[in-house]
Amino acid sequence: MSELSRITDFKSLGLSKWLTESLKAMKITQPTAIQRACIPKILEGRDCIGGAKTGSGKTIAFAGPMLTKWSEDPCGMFGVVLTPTRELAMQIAEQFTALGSSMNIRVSVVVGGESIVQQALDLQRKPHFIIATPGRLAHHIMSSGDDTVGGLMRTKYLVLDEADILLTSTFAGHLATCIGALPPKDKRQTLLFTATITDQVRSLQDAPAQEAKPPLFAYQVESVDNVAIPSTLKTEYILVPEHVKEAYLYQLLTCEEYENKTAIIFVNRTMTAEILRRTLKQLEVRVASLHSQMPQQERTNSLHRFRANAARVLIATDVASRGLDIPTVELVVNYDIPSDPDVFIHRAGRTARAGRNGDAISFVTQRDVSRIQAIEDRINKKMTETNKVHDTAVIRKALTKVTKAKRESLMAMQKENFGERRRLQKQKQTDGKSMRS
Amino acid sequence: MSDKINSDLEDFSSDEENDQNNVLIQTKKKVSSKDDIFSKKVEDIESEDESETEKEQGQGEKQQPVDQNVNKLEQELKEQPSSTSALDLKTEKLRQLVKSKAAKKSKHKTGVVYFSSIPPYMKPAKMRQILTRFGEVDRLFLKKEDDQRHKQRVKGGGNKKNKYEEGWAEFIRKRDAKLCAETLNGNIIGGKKGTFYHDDILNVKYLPGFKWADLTEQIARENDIRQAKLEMEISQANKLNADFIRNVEQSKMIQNIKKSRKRAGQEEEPSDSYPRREFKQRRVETNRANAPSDIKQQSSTSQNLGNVLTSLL
Repeated sequence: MSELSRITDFKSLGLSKWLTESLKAMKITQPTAIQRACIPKILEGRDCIGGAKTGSGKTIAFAGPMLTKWSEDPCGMFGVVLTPTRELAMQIAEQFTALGSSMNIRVSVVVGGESIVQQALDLQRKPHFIIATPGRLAHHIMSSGDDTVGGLMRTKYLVLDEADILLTSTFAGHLATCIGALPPKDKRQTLLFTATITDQVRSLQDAPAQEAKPPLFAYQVESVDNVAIPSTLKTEYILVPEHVKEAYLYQLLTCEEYENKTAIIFVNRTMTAEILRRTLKQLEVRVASLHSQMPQQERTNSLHRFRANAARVLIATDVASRGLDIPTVELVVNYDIPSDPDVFIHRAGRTARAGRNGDAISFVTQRDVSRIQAIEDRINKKMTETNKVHDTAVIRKALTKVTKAKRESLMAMQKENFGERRRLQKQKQTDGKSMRS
Repeated sequence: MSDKINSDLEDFSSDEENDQNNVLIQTKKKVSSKDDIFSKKVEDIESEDESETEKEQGQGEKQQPVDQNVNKLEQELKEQPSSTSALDLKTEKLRQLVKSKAAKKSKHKTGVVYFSSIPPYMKPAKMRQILTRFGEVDRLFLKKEDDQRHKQRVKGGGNKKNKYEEGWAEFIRKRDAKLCAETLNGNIIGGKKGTFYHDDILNVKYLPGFKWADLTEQIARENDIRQAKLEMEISQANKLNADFIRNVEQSKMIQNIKKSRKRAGQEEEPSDSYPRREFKQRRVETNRANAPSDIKQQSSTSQNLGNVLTSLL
């Protein structure tokens, strides 16, 4: 370990010269702990399970060795990266493109919500790397011919980013299809990265070693659980009754301290996200939103707007809770408390990145007390009550107008039939199931 | 009173409704009152529809501030129903305005005609030009084709212009409408030979006993219902808010009492130490392997997931 920690540049980790140069151009010269540990092992050809908090530089930890190997023998469909969310896929693809721009890299993003035809054409051109969400890739595998997805049989690498989410029953069906189209497990290298060790990940770790391959490398799988939230992150809470939450939120976003700061507000449901977006928009807060019931075009646009600081507040469901790297975020509001304490860690991880300061404020209603206690146990830290919002200020400045704005936006949503599409889709699915049985 | 206003202003409220997915073309005077919304359309009309008389334009300019006043007044009425003296004055003003507007309306009975098809890519302005051959046209509304179809056509390399499917036109005089339907129905548009729409055939039907308001009635009614519902919900929410405010004040009072007791050196009452009410808590669950067993989700590894796991590593 001591020998490893002395290594301070990427060259001595075994990366190609061109890659270290493009890393230097991106102002990345110091490998992080996970990069120091994983890159040599992956270059040796070992499978890898990496326990890594988001923001610890894991994208480069798997992109580095893959690109190095690829540049020795550039061929089509060299690696497949699977992620749970579309935005994360796009972010990773951007990084791959930036790293490999000097080598004429072809990266294609295969995610839902975009043109299937265009993606199929892209796949036919045999991109070097495919960054995909499982659902859409499975769709291509099922419906396209050999000329489109046949090249997958020759891929050398499979990466599962955020493996703990991917290895749940939600993704299992699509994931099985995707893996079925890839070479068998002894002919490819499999890299898993996860921030939470679930039973599934553990069972993979304990899987019997294969004869033809060097043993599995596990990095920090046991210790990643103990990593607490960054010390620069302040965790606070507000006690608030359920039906006046919006008013408190508005008051919090417009209070002196946060008046001009960038914030992400996390909610549990798309419906809440939409209500909040409309309400805050009426109250002239610059908002953008990100949730699954928006068209992909709008999702991408909002994220761009937020990144470019055209929107100050992003209202998001858990699609944005992982991986998104927006350094300017200074405040994370947990408008709803997640049921899983680990989700809180992911959400809070959107701020206080790379040594910066950040606040995470949770709205605690009468029914969320045990959730908060579970979170406090998990992060091993007691939250303090915030002093930025006072009841009287909320009553005086926010309550009436926020109530009105909320009702109006609810009415507008009802008129536009928000959520109708999803309901119909669900009905279709259940109808289909009952027809089959 | 308010009913009367509503019925008089009906077409205004409902027009706004229509323009969300359709294009609504009215006579100059009405369009000009909403030129912020229709700005682009208005330009269209103004560039093409030069046959409109000077006199009408003058009317339109006069009409615009009046309409705005009416709307403004109406809003103000809704906002402050309490100040009675001001209210009386304003209602009187409003009544006068409405009356003056009604007086401007023509004494003739209006007639509405229906077009079941519109020649391809014909714009409302052109349609108006054709119809004015028969008499003065008040409102004209052509329904645009489906957005999806338009996109499909453009994608397939088709014409990018807007196509209209059907339409209604209101003549200020009934007999003009009847004449228009009789003459144009099943006939080519005619006019100068070689013009673009010369050979297109129109389908026109005079709608007996039908008024323009019948077209917008349902939308107006829905709007009214929605507005009423909104007001009710807001008042309900305000009640809840009042409750909340009361609670906040009460808690402050209790805090103060406690503080003063502490200052006086009295011991705190033990009854305050336990929660007064228990709430059902939302459930906590996680699938982290090392989590305490009481909040850990039952790991139900399905057949599919099992397959994935074995084929992965």
